[in-house]
This record gives sequence, C-alpha cells and structure tokens, in this order.
Amino acid sequence: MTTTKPDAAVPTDEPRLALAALFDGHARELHRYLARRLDPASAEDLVAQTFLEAWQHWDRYRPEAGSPRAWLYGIATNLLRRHSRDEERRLRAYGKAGAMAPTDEPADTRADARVDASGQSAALATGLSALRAEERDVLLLVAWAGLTPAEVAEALSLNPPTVRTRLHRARAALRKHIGATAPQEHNHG
Amino acid sequence: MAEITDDRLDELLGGFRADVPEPSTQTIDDLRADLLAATVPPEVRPLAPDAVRPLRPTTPRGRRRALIGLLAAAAVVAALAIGAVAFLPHADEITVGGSHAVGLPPMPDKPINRAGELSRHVTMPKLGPGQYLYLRDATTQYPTASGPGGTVTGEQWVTYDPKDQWREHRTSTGEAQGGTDRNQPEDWRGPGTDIGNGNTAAMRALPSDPAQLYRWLAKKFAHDQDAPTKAVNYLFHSLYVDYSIPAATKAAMYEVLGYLPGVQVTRTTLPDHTQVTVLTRMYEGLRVQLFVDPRDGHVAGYRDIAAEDQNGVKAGYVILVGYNTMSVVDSIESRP
Repeated sequence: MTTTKPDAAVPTDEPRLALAALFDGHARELHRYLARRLDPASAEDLVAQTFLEAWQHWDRYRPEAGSPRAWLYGIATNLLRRHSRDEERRLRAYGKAGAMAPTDEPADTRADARVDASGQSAALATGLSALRAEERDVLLLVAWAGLTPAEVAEALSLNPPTVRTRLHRARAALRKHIGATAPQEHNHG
Repeated sequence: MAEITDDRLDELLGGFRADVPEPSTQTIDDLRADLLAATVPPEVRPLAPDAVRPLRPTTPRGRRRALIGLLAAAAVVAALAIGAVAFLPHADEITVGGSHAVGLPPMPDKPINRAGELSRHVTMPKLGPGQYLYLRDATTQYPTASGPGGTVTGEQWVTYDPKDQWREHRTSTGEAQGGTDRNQPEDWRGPGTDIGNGNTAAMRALPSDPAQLYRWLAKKFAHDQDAPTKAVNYLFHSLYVDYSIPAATKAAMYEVLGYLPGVQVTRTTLPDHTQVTVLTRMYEGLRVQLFVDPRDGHVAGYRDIAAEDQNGVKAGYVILVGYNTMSVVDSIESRP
C-alpha cells in the first residue's frame, strides 16, 4: 500500500498560493498513482489536467470540509475514466505477457518480475482488467493511493456503504480470479 | 479452486507496478510553472488583435515533455541509427553556455545573440468562420537501450471557439516512448472546453512587449538559481506548441531569447530543403533544438542531440527529431 503523508497546509487567503501549495503537497504522489494506472507520459498529462480542473472548480474547494487529497483524487479518477479502455488493454497485455511490462517502462519489468515470482502477477493483471471500472477505482484508490474508504467515498461522492461494497466485491473477484488461475497458491496461508 | 488470502492479495497489489519511474524534478517544476502560468488572473491577460485562437490539447506537449524526461533517463543507446546520421550537427553548433545566477540580471542594452531576428516576420494563419487550424506533427525517436524507437504522428483540428468541436488523431509505429498505447490509434473529439488544458490562456496572458516579457520572466524566476536557463526553458517549452501563441507574443519571445544566455543561433536545411534558423539550448545532457522558419516564425520542428558521451551514448547522436506543419482547412475532417 502506498505510504501517504498528511495533507499540506493550505492557505486560504490567496487561491493561487493555495493551488501552488496543493500542487507541492500532492503532485508527485498523484503522478505516481496515475503512472501506475496508465504510464508516466499519460500521468504527466493527467496531473496537469487534474490541477487545472481543480482551479476551474476552486469554488467547490472546501479544505475545512474534507481532505484536499480526496478532492484531487476524485478529479483525477474522473479524468482517468476517459482512459479506462486503455488501462484494461494494458492490464490484459500484462496478463498475456506474464506481467512483462511494455517496453517503454523498463523499470516495471523488474518490479513485475519480482511480484510475479509466485506466478500470480499475471493473474492479478487480468483480474484487475476484468473488474468493473468503478470497482477498480475504489480498490486502487485504497491500495495504491492510500485513501481510506471514507476518503474514497468523499473523493467519488459516494455513500460509505457503497464504497465498502465495491471494495469487497473487487477484492472477492480478484481473490477468486487469482485462485482460479494460479493454483500453485492453494497451499499459501 | 482455492482463493488466496487477504494478506497475499494485499501483497500482490502493493507490488504490482510499484516500480513505475518517478517523475523528475524538472518534470514537476515544469508542470508547476505551466499550472501557475495558466492561472494568471484575467485582468492581466493582454490580447493580441491578430491572435489565432486555437485550443491547445494537452497531449502533444505532455507527451513530448514526458518523452524528453524518459529519454534523459535512458541508460544506453543500443546502436547508431542510419537515419540519424543525416542529422548530425555542424561543428559550430556545439558550444552552448548557461548561467548560474539567482534571478535574471537586468535586461542587457543590446541583444547577445541573433534570436531576435526571428521576430521580424512572425505571422499566424487567420481562421475564418467554420475554418479549422490543421496541425500535423511527426516525431521519430531513434534506437536506444529502452527500445528500437519509432515514430509518433499526430493530427489536430482546432477552432476559434472553445465550445466548438475539435479533433485529435494520433498513431505511432515502432516502440517510441510517448507513443500510443501498444501502437493503437487514438482518436479524440469533443469541445475544447473539455480537452484544452489552459495553455492558450496562459500564452495570451504573456506580455507581447519584449521588455515587459523580460520583466515578467524576471519576476517569475526572481528566486530561482540559474534563472536565465529556466527562462530559456520556459520559452522553449512554450514554443513547442507555438500555434497557441499570439503572433505578437511569439515575436516578443524571440526578442527576449536574444537577450538570454545559453541560446545559440545557427542555420540548417531540413529534409524538405526549407532553410531554418536553429535555436539550441542545453537540457540534461542534450542539445535541444528548435527549427524556426524565419519567413513566418513558425516552429517547423525540433531535434534532440546527445551533447556528450554518456551512458554509452555518443556525443552528436541524434536521439529524436520532429516536424510540425500548420495550415487552415475548411472542415474538421479535411487535410490540406
């Protein structure tokens, strides 16, 4: 799970300064999350779009009412939905290739190879690709962005029970998928 | 069939794609600078009367910027590309100096290079009602250790009115970094208000008077070390998407580049025999060049060259080269 840091202090007297503070506090972490979901180049575009979108809707920014991180991840998740087919194609490709990363991301190849030591990373990839997009969003916001379910609910404007349900379904589907496609894990745990 | 444990699932999720490359400091700095430039209050945004008003989709600049970052991090070049040899630089282009001062010095009394000469004939196409600005870019990346390279091609149709439809179509061949996902074509269509990322507004916000633009840059980088280099980088980055820049502002950019250190001005001939002016700066061990058509100030292309032997890359090796065209068409589907 991603290690998170407390929200940066956000001054409220000057919106552009507040925006800059938000950027300084969260841009790098957001980039990393989006790069995991897609790729570094797309992440760069999406980080830029996320903060511009935040600026365009600054009147909705209520730091006292919730987590700025959740707000930013909510915007980013909306933008990511344009790329959901790309993400699913990419995940399926990882699965078919035994979780080998595409050639534009050599570092991933090393990481995925380690994860794949038990033969389950490919199954994880195809399992993620098979999830409904809204379930995948919830799962990865928790697992990779480090949001709590309550923050995910805030980010996606959902009721907390809905988030918990989606999270439960996503995890159950993944467990089932990986168990079915990686039988060598039967004796694990 | 047995399901895996929750702990094992968490372990797998935590490790999957955990090694994605971190963004460079330059990438984050550039994103921040772009963001703040795009959010300048409207009351300080001058409008050039002859400004073309294209929407600026995020993708080309973002891809290119990401491409540069990834290329700078690439470890080893696999082989010299035969095609690249044709673009090897002339010996007189090699030396490019920078400055490490804090903040920009006062604007010199006289230009220190000839970039300002490009300002003399800057024009932008004028769009009539219903017309579109058609933009085509093609960037070829040559082989490196991270892949055999390839070509990314993009087409865009942009309009005056952000509420109108615009379209972007991109394809890639080979394994170019920044290419489309597994070489599948991407086709985007929608209102610019959905897809534009504010670059046009940021460019309109810039002063169109050279002295004012220099002061704007001095203020922007007042507390930065190596401010002249950052000012040059800012102007170069803006010029990669020069179709979003009003003509008067673009002319001012060329003027200001003439007063900044770290810029070298030479000439070369493109494969289509166009004579262009070459503006060169240094960036992370690369000689980063813009090809500017002196007849209209249009940025006709760009090229990145290894500046020194590094990680197996031979100095002078052309890593990527790209060309841009810009013209006016009468419908969103048509090409010149």
